[in-house]
Amino acid sequence: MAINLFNKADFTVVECDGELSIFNVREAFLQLSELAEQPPEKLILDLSSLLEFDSAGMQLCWWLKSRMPEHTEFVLSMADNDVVQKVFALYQLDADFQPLADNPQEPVNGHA
Amino acid sequence: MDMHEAQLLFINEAEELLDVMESCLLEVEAGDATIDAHIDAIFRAAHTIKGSAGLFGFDAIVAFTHSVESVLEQVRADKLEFTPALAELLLDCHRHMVQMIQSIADPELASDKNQGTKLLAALDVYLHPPKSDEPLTDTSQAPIPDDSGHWSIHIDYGREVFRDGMDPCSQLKFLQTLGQVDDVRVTADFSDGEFDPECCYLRLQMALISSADKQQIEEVFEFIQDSSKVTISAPKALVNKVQACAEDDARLGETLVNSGALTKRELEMALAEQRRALQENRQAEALGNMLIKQGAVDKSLVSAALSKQKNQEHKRPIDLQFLKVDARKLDNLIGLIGELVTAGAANELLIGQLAHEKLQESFAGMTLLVEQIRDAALGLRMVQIGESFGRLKRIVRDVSKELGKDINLEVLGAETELDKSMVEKLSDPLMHIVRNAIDHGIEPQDVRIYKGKPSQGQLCLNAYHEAGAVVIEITDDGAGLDPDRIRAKAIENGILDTDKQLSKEDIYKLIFEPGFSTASAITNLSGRGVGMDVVKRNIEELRGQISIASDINQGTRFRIRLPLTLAIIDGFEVTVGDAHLVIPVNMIQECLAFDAEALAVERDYLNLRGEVLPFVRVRDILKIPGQRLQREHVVVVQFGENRAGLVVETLLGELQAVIKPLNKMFRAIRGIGGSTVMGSGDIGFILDVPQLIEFTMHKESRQCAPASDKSEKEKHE
Amino acid sequence: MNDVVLDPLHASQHHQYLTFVLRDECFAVGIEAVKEIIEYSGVTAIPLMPDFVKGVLNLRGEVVPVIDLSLRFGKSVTQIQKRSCIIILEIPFEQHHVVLGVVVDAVNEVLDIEPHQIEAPPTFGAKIRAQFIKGVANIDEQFVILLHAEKVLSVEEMASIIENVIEQ
Repeated sequence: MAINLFNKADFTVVECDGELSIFNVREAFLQLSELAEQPPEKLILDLSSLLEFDSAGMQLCWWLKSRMPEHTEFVLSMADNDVVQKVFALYQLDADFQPLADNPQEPVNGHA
Repeated sequence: MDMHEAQLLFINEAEELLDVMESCLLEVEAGDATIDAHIDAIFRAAHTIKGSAGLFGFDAIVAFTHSVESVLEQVRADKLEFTPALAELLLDCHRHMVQMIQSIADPELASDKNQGTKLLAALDVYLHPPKSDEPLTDTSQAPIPDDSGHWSIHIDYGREVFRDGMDPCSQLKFLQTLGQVDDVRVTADFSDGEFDPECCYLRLQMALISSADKQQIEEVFEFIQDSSKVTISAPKALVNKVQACAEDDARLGETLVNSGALTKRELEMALAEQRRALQENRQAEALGNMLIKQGAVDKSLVSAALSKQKNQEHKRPIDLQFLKVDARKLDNLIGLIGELVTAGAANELLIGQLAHEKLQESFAGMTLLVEQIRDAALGLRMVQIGESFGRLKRIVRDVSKELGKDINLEVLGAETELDKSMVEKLSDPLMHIVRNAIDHGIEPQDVRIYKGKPSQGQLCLNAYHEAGAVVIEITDDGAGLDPDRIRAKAIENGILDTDKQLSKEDIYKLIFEPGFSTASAITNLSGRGVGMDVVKRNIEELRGQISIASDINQGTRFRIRLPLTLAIIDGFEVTVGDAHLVIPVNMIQECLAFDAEALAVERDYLNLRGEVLPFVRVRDILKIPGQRLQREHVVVVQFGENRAGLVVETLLGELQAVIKPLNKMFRAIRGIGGSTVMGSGDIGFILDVPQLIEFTMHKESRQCAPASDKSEKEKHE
Repeated sequence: MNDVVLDPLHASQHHQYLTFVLRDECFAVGIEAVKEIIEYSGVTAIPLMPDFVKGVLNLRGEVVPVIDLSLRFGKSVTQIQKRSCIIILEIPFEQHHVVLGVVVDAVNEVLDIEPHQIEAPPTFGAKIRAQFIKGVANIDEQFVILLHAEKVLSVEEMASIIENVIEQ
């Protein structure tokens, strides 16, 4: 299945596997809702093994981030995943969902 | 003009333009002209069709034609080489456009969407040649076109966008093909109630540096236009462009559309708003203000365009070369002139009785003028047959390609003129004959070489005037018709009796019989259920004749003979009993006195200078009542290869007969092709000579049927 | 008698009928189908036609077929007399109108006949095909047979009758 939740050291890891797109965002959302209700201290959203990723998928990640309180350390990792990088590049967004143009020096997958 | 008429006008115009486009492409492809000579005409055709289609909201046509136009534009700007492959592609696109236009008039002829998509993809290869692997984020190297500017684009995506299968990513990708996308700002607003992961909460804003016009940019958002709010603002640089755009006399909206600052859709929305306001008796706002309000254009753009419009108002073109006239108006005029001819004849009769020389002289002058007016009016309906031949060129090209035959088409007499309605009705039969000639007439290359013929087949279309008629010949140098095979086939199909002997010409005529087809192997092209019988019927409906000449291995010639016009004929008036009959003058050879007593009673043929001349007693065949006159005449008529005599009573002389078709109620009538109102106000009937002879033969064969049949019938009665 | 040209504006009014006499019976057709009424003259016979086709006439340059209504009803031929008229009617056919003339013994008047005055046609006794009759109205103690002009003058049906006659 698409989303695995597990703990690694003091991080809660959300590992997305295979596909995160309009075709399964509802399913993924149901799994992530719990996380949004009880935000962990440290969260890693790992998109590096995705094969399919689209705007709906990106939006869901964004929503998840928006639901994390200030003190939660949120890290989005796409590593060198081409599919994910392309989407972020098109929107000219960095891994913090900040526009790239504001800090052009920063590489796209800065937090990886 | 209502919408329907306007639409018809559009279809008509588009078809004409497509014809131009096709013939230009074919000429270039065949090497008869250079692309430079024709690219303007081809481009203009595509451009005009796109523009008019936009006015009617035929979006599919606009979208498709737009791509075609873009490729043509590249060719025109010498940025793209006009290769044979491109010619082929554009001809395919042309065919698709024809289908799309036709499907407006007849929705059952839906155009093939897959074909359209394929063609668009093929065109796209020319528009966006695969680029070298540039990293997507690095756009600093992208060339910036000269007259570029920053378009700013705002998109407030609708909630349903994802669910509709759209992804903003694909629009961003597409925009990158138009130019450089900068300063993308995407925001997501999750504050609005419960989050639904399948809803789209994105808002996008960006700058685009591109030489594309607004229409092109807007097309990127075509599929989300209904669900989302898309605002595209023109760059300031375009304001200058509007001022620079100096030549064409366009109204404000058009000026803005032409300069690329406004799309047709936006213009239409504003115009619709104006109309609504007028209907509700509100003060309609100026178009410019409305556009600014809609956020479609910037204020400075509007004022620039307005001032330009003012400058142009005095410069309308005066050298119009063609005038489009409603065909009904023309028919009406020709109808009236027909009346004038008839009324003139009536006056001539009266004046003739007066024996007033001056009056007669002056009337003769007027008659001359009436004749000239008649000819000029009929001339208005005349078009060059070349238009029809152009379509045949395409068929020759396509069919020979499909069959792998090499065929050279020669066209002679393309400037020969013919009534427009005839040209239209002729196109199907001509197409069929040409297809047949390529399919069955001209042999495959190896067979030709084996026979010692040049491997390239020859097909010739020839049109010329001959004695008040138009002759069209379709000649091939193919296998020719084999009388023995036709005969065998006809017997096999039950069209011909085994023991019946026929001349070569009569055997050829068998291919016009319903249910006859010589195609030994039915190919994709011919044998689609429409046979040569339909061809013959179509020609006969035009009061024409078709004949065949052929020699085995030398080729076949189809010869179609048509009257010049369907409206008025030169006739020869005769009477039988009380009936006034008109025989077409061009069929009459001579008139003789009929010596009834010298003839045997049971024999309907006479000796004309040693030759047998069968004759028809018109009074009997048309069952005209009354006493037979002592003196009768024979009118000798010739049509095609046939000759016959028509026995009539008085010969009254020549007249111009305005043909009035008979009511549909009388469709079963035989031997009479129509009626005409004569100078005296009487109604005369125009004889359809070939049909009259056929009817006579038909009756005779029934009367001569074996006696057993007859007695059987009598028993029943 | 003068030619009567009817005002086309009145044609749109539904309850008006033109009454006429044929073989001592009174008939009527809806006024909307009537174009004009002319004297009987100048009818040219058409070769090969069955008797119910009287011929064609020249109506200001237009060639108009003329039908003998009495023969069309299967009765005897109409004798042309002083009061004989041709009613010119417009009959819908294949999205167009065709103009036809019918010969009648005399034209009477234009009558207002309200729908409630119209009774169903008698099932028999009229000696005319039932489908030709729209209804019967009793006007001043006289029966008027209202005709379905488009059925009586069905171009399609008359064409097939003609076809049969010519084929024989």
